[in-house]
Amino acid sequence: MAKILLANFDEEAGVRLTAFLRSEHHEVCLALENESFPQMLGRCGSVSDLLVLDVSRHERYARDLLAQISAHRVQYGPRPMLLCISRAYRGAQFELDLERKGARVVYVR
Amino acid sequence: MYADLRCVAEQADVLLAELTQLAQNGPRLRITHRFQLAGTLCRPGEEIWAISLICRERETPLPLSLALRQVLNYLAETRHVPQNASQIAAGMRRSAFYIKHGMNSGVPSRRKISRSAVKEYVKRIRRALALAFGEAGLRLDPNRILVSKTTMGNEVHYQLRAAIEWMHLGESSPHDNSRWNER
Repeated sequence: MAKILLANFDEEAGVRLTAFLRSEHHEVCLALENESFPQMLGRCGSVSDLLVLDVSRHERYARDLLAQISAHRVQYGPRPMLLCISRAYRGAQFELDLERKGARVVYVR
Repeated sequence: MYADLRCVAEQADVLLAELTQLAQNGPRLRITHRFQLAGTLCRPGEEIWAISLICRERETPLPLSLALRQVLNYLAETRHVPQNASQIAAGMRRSAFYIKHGMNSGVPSRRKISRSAVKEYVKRIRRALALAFGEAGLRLDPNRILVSKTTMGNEVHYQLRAAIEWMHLGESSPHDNSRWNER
């Protein structure tokens, strides 16, 4: 069982994905709107294995969060791994930028 | 919205598996030796041609000079035992592999490694690792991969924490001149 954080999701999508991942026997914590990474860790527990970030909305917040996580990973090791999901194709450059920050990108409908 | 939750869960599982591998074994480094003689593996006379970081099956070469490649190869060979700079220098001085490094090409490419040089080389190897991690999008601290361990005295021991695979490019067969070997 892994500990997964979900960030920057709208309410409906967040609840659905939380329910789905819980059915896969993961422990899931949904971040609050505009919550910073240290706040998330304080609320959900200091160790998480994976952060799933919706980069389709609030792009500035998503980028800030990515930068905070990148800095955290350099200091404390590879946790959490980063999975960015997007509902729209934003081009190869966008994907490459995210990958350089250590994230994987997956597109969803 | 999010009709394909299954694909998110699958990607999550892939990343969690990678995390487990990273946490247990560290990053994967591939060391390529060339000028191998038929039927031999890692014998004196071979050359350490390149050292690369393998991430998502993509190879990112580490920008290392000959001396740094030799030190990193030695640290990889002896990664189960932390050693101080004197032990590393002594081990390399006495090893026929490093004395005859590259001899199979006709011209040896040897470097004299001293105790004080090892300390500087460790810093440079960490810088090279940091560059490769950045390029590969792996946010890892090189100090946690090439680890300095304190002892009861004022000695510092170095240990490499990475999964290593050796690849040999040689002359063993005219049809298949590359061979994979994991030690």
